[in-house]
Amino acid sequence: MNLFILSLLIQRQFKEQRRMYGISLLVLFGMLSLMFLLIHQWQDSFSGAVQNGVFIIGLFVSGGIFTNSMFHEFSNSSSSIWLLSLPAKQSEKVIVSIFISTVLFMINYLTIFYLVESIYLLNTKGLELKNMLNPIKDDFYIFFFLYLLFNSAILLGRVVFIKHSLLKTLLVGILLFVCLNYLNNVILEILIPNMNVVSSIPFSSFQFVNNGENIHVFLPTHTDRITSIFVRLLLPITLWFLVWMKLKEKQI
Amino acid sequence: MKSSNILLLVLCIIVLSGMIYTNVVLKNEFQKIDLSDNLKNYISHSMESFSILEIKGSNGYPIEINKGNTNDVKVLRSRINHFSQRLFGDTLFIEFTGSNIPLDQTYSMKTPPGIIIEVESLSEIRTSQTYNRISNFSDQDLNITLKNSSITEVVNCNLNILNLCSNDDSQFVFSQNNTVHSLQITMKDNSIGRFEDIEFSTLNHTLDDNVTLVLSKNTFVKLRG
Repeated sequence: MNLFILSLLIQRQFKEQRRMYGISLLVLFGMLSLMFLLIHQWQDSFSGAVQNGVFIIGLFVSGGIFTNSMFHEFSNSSSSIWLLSLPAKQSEKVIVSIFISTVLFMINYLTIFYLVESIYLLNTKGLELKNMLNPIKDDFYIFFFLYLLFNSAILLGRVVFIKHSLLKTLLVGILLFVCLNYLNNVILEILIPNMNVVSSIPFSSFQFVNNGENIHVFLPTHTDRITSIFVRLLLPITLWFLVWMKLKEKQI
Repeated sequence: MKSSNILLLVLCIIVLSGMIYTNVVLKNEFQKIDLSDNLKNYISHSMESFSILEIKGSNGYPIEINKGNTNDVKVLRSRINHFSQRLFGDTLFIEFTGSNIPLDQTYSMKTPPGIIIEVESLSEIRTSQTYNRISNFSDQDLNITLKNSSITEVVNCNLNILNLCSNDDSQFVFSQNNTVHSLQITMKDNSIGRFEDIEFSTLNHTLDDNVTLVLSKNTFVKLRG
């Protein structure tokens, strides 16, 4: 791994995409402003942590579109040959793409989000620290880890599907999610028969009804910690590793 | 077969095995639940005795504080990840995190209690940003301090001295058969106090200009007389 090459790859990305990134930041600002405007306009319909909702929707929508712009050269065969033949290791190209679409994206997203939120609060509740979104509170930081998983899946889709990769990745992702949930329910029903499972989250918990009461069953702390590490860290790392393998296999 | 596809296959096998394993663990947790218990949806934490209770967090779920024969804290299963407690000296600190709902919607909320606290003896309750129901305390003195838009309902209590201090837009209501010999009320900021069902012998008060009092007819007549 050569840090100099990594920095050159980052510079190349920004030099080529400077204009698009500038416009994207303005679009992100506009999109978040619109969402805050909507929740203010219909504030009676939204209660609780509305800023959290705006943050999550904005993060996954903009993050998904932005991540999909990495390796965009693969949608065209001539530019994909050019990308593959760049004088850098495929691993360095993958690391740069991950760095730009996670760390740099997150820095920009947080900056724009807090800017828009400050403007919103200034005009509504008042600009106070206690009114602002606290990403540490109530385990909200989990969404940052889920974004890593989402990012790795979108990047993998980008190198697997040549055309319309974002749509295809989302479709496959939704299908996988539905199938996994269904399978999880089936496994639970086999293990615990005659139980009315209302909902279940794979690797986490399930809910069943007993005498009209919804009862949650969670994993014990120790097991929950292991599954959290698997889902939040090991799974994204494995998917990023798969991106690298797929990229290597594309090499001429 | 390409090596990336082999890795993908291995990943699928790990995910499926993990799912089966976690469901077996969940089955074991399910078998620990006594379905005949009325409070089966709560996880119980036995406590050493404490006399001061300090709770802060969210008002999304009511917190019940009842006088009982044991020191026990029960937490709604679905809120267990939002609960933490620490006993320091004779003070029990509880943090109950979660999102907050607007104060005007709190009274009409239908959610079950997030925490049920049973305590043998309690002299002081301090709350911050939570919705509490205090009930069945009798023949004792009690100090209650409300901060940061807390809401507290006092139900079926028979107290000698009640010292209640409400700050930062907090609200309190006396409902259902409360008797207090000496009631000492301090209300600050935009606090709201509702005296719906309370009998008292003496009343001492310190009220800020912006506070609001809601009186039942009985309380109003008593104050006039």
